[in-house]
Amino acid sequence: MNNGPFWGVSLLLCTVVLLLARPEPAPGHAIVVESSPASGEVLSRAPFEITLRFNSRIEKTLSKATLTGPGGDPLPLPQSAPDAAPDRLIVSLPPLQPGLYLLRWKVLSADGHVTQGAFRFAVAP
Amino acid sequence: METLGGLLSVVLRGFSLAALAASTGGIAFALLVLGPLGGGSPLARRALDRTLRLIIWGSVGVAFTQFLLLMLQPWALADPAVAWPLREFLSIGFARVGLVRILAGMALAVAAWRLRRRGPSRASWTTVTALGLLLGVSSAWLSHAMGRLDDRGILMALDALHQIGAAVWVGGLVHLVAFWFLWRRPGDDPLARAVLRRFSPLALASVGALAGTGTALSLFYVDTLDGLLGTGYGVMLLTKVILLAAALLLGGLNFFAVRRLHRDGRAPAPRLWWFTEGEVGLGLTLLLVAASLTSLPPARDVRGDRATISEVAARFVPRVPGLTTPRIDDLLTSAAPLADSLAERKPEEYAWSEFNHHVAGLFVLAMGLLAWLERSGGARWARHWPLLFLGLAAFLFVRNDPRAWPLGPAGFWESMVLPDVLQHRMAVALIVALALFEWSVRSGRLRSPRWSYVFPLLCAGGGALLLTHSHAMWNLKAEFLTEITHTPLGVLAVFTGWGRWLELRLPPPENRLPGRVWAGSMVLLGALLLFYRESGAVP
Repeated sequence: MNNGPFWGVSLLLCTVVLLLARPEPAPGHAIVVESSPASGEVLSRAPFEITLRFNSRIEKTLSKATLTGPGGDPLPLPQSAPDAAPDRLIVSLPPLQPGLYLLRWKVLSADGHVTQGAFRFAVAP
Repeated sequence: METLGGLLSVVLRGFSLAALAASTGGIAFALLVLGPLGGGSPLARRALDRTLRLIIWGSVGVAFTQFLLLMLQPWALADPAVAWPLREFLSIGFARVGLVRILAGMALAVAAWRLRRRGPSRASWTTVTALGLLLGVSSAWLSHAMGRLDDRGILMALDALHQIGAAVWVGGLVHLVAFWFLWRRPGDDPLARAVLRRFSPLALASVGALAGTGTALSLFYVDTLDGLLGTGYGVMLLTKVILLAAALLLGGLNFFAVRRLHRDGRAPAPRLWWFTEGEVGLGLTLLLVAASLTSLPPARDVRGDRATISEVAARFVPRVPGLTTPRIDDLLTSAAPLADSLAERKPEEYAWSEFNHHVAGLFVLAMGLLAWLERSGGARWARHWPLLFLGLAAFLFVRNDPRAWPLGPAGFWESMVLPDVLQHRMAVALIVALALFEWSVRSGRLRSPRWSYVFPLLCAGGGALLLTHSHAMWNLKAEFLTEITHTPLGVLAVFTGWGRWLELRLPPPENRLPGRVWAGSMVLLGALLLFYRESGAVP
């Protein structure tokens, strides 16, 4: 079949996609089934650590969480505890001031899917 | 926002499965269908040579797609200002299995190439078979089973059998079609009958393995009826079942045709091969849907975000479309900036999107009805229906991304770097292509019959891509309630494509039924779009 022009245009468009776009991970597959603090929770005391339990094994060396504080600045967080259960991301926290926090996570599940998500929690004054 | 990484991952996994079908499925075809026939006739030798060539290309395809998948993950994991975490990535199980699959794919390509050059021997076939099995079995390391905490061993074993069953069935069909292109001379009829007779039990066994292991895996991953009807995983599973049923309908017709052929001793009718082409198309779509399923969380894991059956049913209750749209100024005032992926969608955005779907539905419904009218033979002027695609493309180009050019503040090129905007514009370009090719064919401007296959291929390909488009949102339930209305659209587009394909291939009057199938699918597509409801707009 002489579809040269059609396939040429399609190939060009696909190349443009790859050149222009950065691959954002899909927020599917590995999902948080339990977390501490929970999404939207208002805590009376600042937590010492964050625990995320997923529905799948995750690769901890390539999974991470980031926390943005009330001022909008990201707080430095260590890597997840390596000895935690295979489906858990556990991250120690620095002392948190009262305010609203945004937690973002990006994990690689054991079957090779990069997924991400985010939720907010607050520390009461 | 639908994200490019997820889409690329699904599409690459789908291509990887198709390549696996060509390689591992080809080995089964060569050993169990062509092998026992011997290499006595020139056609048998050419058939084996072609099969080996396809095995080589399939093996290279597995290696290449696996390589791209390995590159995709560190790319997606890296922060913009930090180097790719390659060293850490290469230390994990997924990457190591990926490297093994790349090496096995390349080794299989070399082994098949040597076999083709030096002729068959027991040692070379043993090597090729072992490498093909390694590729098939190692697919289980890319499946949901790999991430499970419990029952991982049994789930991986079931998954490996499932993927090998799919590869042998779909791959066997691909190789059967390749054989058909070689079979031309009447003197070769006995060989063609023998190939078909030997393929039937192989197809039955592989479909049996596919269905049996698929049922067992479904019972594990989908725990209840709610899980089947109220999660994205469940709905994609149902989509697989519908596509499999359609493919098996064609396969069943062929199965009985082959039995009659054996009884009567006649030459295989061309219809048999054309049905096989349709089966190949549906089989390849199934592989893409299977790849899409790997990107969704299993239904049993989705608890709080499950939709209820009544919420799902509410999506499909016809309601007179309002056909009113919010003003662009109101939308721009309330909506978050284009690149803010965390922002919640506002009611104006839902209403805007609903209006877009409804108007698109009017266009598609009109085209479906005109196509039906043209088929009835009473209105020759109706053959110009593809021109309505141009109106649809113009409407979507303007309205798809209201926060970008020409309606919104984001410039044309500035918004082009956002994956969903880019995908929408690519879709518009494809719709324009659909309009121009099909109108040129129907109005006699493109005289070669080959051009008439562009429309069905674009429809079938577009439908398959829609099925891989998971509408990833932050809220899984909202994601699902959007997906549940897009999934039937994808299935109907696939039926439109392959129905039209069969109409073109089959002689009259046998082509009447597929003709009705594709025109009817277009009408249904239009109606579904017309009654479309956004998740945020349903009370």
